[in-house]
Amino acid sequence: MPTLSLTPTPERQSPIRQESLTVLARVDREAPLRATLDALGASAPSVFADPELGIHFARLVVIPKDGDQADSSVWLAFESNFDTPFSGEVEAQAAHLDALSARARDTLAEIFGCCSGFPAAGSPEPAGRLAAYLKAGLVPSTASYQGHSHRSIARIRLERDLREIILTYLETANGCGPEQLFERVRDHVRALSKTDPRLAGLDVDQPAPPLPDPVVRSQHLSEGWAPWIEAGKLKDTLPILLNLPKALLEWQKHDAVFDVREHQERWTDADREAFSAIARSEDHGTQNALTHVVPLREGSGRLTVLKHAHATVNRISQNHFQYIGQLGTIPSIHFAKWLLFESDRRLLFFSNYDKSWESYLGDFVDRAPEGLNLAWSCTREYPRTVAFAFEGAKDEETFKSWTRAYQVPTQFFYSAYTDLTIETINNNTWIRTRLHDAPSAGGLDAWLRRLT
Amino acid sequence: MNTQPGSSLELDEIQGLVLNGYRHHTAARYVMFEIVDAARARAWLGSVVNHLQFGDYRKTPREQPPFIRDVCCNLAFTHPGFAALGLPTIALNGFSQPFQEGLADPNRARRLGDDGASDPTKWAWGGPGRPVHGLLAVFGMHCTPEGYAALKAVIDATLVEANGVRETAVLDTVPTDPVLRKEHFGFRDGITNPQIASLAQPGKGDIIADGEVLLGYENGYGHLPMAPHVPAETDRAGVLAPAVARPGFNDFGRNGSYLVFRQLQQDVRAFWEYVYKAKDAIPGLPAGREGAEWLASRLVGRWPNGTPITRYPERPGPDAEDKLNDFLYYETGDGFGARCPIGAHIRRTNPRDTTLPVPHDVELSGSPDDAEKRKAVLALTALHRIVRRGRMYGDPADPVYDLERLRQCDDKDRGLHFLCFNANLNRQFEFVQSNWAVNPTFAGLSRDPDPLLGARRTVPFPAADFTMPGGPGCPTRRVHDLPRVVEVRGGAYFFMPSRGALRYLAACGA
Ligand code: HEM
Repeated sequence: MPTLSLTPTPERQSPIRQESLTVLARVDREAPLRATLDALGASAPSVFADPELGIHFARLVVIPKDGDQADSSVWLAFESNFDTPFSGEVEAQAAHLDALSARARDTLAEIFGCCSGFPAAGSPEPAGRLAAYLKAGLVPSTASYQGHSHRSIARIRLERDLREIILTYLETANGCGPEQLFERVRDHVRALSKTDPRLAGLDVDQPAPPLPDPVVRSQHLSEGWAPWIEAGKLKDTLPILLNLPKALLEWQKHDAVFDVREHQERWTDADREAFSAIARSEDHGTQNALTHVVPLREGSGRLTVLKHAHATVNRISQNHFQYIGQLGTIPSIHFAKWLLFESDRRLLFFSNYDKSWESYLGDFVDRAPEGLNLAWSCTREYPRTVAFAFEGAKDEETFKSWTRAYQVPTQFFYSAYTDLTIETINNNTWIRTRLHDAPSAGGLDAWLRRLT
Repeated sequence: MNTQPGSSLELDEIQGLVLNGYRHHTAARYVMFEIVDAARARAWLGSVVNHLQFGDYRKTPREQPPFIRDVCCNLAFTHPGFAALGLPTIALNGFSQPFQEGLADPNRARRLGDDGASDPTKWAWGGPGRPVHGLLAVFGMHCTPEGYAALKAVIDATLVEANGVRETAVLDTVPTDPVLRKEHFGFRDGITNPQIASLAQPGKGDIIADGEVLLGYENGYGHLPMAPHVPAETDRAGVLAPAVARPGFNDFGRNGSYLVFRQLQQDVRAFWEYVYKAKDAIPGLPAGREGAEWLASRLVGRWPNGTPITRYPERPGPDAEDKLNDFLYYETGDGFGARCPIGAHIRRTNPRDTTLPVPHDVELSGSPDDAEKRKAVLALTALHRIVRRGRMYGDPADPVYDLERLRQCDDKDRGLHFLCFNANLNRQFEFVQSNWAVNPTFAGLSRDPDPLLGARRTVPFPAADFTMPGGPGCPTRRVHDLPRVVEVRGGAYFFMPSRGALRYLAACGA
């Protein structure tokens, strides 16, 4: 079993991968919790930035009650996307919670102290109790996606600095043929890596650290529906979609769907304040966090369809999209995750994406409506779909407005690299990899043009 | 699609400025006003609507009536303006959210890059606590003292307290030189605008759906844009069309368009001082004027005479009007920015057939040589277009825009009254401004904001680089420390309503 240490080792040797976890806890004391979370912005980033934790992104968010259900609760959700040397999900999550409980104990104890069943404060709070509490609150996802899997924070930062160093070199380099230029860049990097701490551990004469090669993967998978069919073999989805009880398909036609106009015309000051609260939590860095929570549609069979649809989305995302850094053809998602909670009656969606909400939602509509329909068509008021996968999100204004209506503000969001887009991270890796393993003549042009 | 120009648009209903920049009306003045007495203002609307310029003159050839007026007036309102006139709440809530919140909203300001000296709290007009209600835009044929006096007379006669309105800001413009047609930095402007499908001239490309500009028509997704409705019984004069598929309601938004107005101050000397200095760090550039012109043209994406860099990378081409806008990027063999840098102002405000992100995986996004792929890319960028109607203000820094003299010019107040129309503020203007222009990670770049609009914005992080991707034999070049050369001095979101909507308002509280 590997030992847990994320202290920067030569990143070539540590087979670090990324894992994700979500802890949900029922909230007992909402007002103090909100106050604590509001005050967190200033102090918590340094806690989560602890290199031993290896956190890419973390969020803390209060999920309000479902007003239509008497037995619904207010929840606190904690999400972390982190580096781990463990290959199994369960071990990785347990180790991360142990580390968090040890290194961020005071912060987390104060926050979860507002939640139900939290062990009465000891003095000092023993780490084991907090970890046990958090582990008990772990909720598995129904589907998830990572845009830059298999790269540690250290590697992401090194590759960012490497690109910067190469570009600085090129600024004043003399014009020459691509082969010569490539060699000169390599010489420059080789020399610098001996002295520049930003390049510590980089050795361009060794093979690049292994990474599932997107090119190889995608050779077999052409665009459009091919990956969905290939990776999922449709073996789970097809029977469902074909043998769907007629009643269910019928039902779909009569489901209540979101009406933009009706919603908007009823907006009150409270609604406007809710929208402002969401907007206040957005656009502070290159990435944004979206937290979306919607109840499932009434009626039996919905849960079954949703679970199968999510299993399909998940399998394809794990086996294909994760390697190419695009979900569907959406290039701007770092992490995305769906999970069911409150007796499988509500669906929670978390994502960390680049650029503005409008751009992100636009990508959904323009590039991957089928996948989103599969993920959400069984939830309340979702724009009308055909056979759960078609139309739906293609109704642009309705889909965007529906999403906003079920969105909640993300009270706290931490990112380990607020200046990097998924495109840049993947491009930097590409540049770095080819610097180790010199590209062929044609590939050299591609390598050079990626340096922007 | 209807090919007969204008036949499917209700031209009598649409205010002229939405359809036409009035280029031959060289004199223009914009007046912001406040509504101080709703009843009087409504009465005023009832009469002033007959003096506004609508699009009816476009139904006939130029030599036949109805003619365009010598003085064209157009009228638009902000959300607080419509509220002050007594538009029912149901309709006020039916406008798009950005319009309801206003341009000066702090969350919006952060996203659009309006910080530092551009922060809405520092605006000369339109900032928080100083709401603008309406805009009267007046255009005349003669940019002479007498011509301007005539415009002033029109304004002074109508924007009076007896009419329930009061001027809050008067914004003058200067005509562009009729031959050079340059903006203050010295670049030819007013070249590119998409055409509205129903008014498109045959043979000329760059067409967007009517509903990308006008409410009441199908947009790029084939849907009718969200528009404000009013209960039919409140339309006593019966001047509005019935709402589509909604009995009992009339459509207040139809034939109207959202108008973005931003006063953008330009620091001409800072721009050219920077360019002159930065060019020296680029190996192999000619010294002096020639090198400065080369670098500045990369920043804009066009040479000062307007010819596109992607077509003429080495030196300016002939400025034949019909050739200036006749280009795509991939198609010109410039998919990766080796000629026109990806971060250039015109390439990032309209990437045309550029696959985003650049530099992309040919393996994943498909080859640019594939015509189908290119069409798909064009279709995506076409969802983010705006119709620009801006004019300059302040005297040009130099009458012939000589670079040496621009570099040493005075620092008088000058800039661009940036106006643009669109049907969806979120997806069009705000998208272009925030995701394409000021975003330093646009299209796979890492720290490159729009060199004209976006340098050193606090959010998402201060960025001030400009990268010029390399080509055969030439490595990628980069310059640093771009200065802020454009600051926002005022602004508001307006809606320019139809004739019927204005008449509805006139009868509103009656
Ligand atoms: C003072 C500020 C600005 C200056 C000096 C400026 C200058 C220019 C110039 C010289 C052109 C080329 C002429 C043409 O293609 O018509 C241009 C084009 C353009 N500008 Fe700006 N501009 C400014 C602000 C803005 C803003 C705020 C936006 C929108 C957010 C914008 C969007 C565009 C667009 C969409 C084009 C046409 C690009 C194309 O289709 O190729 N500009 N601008």
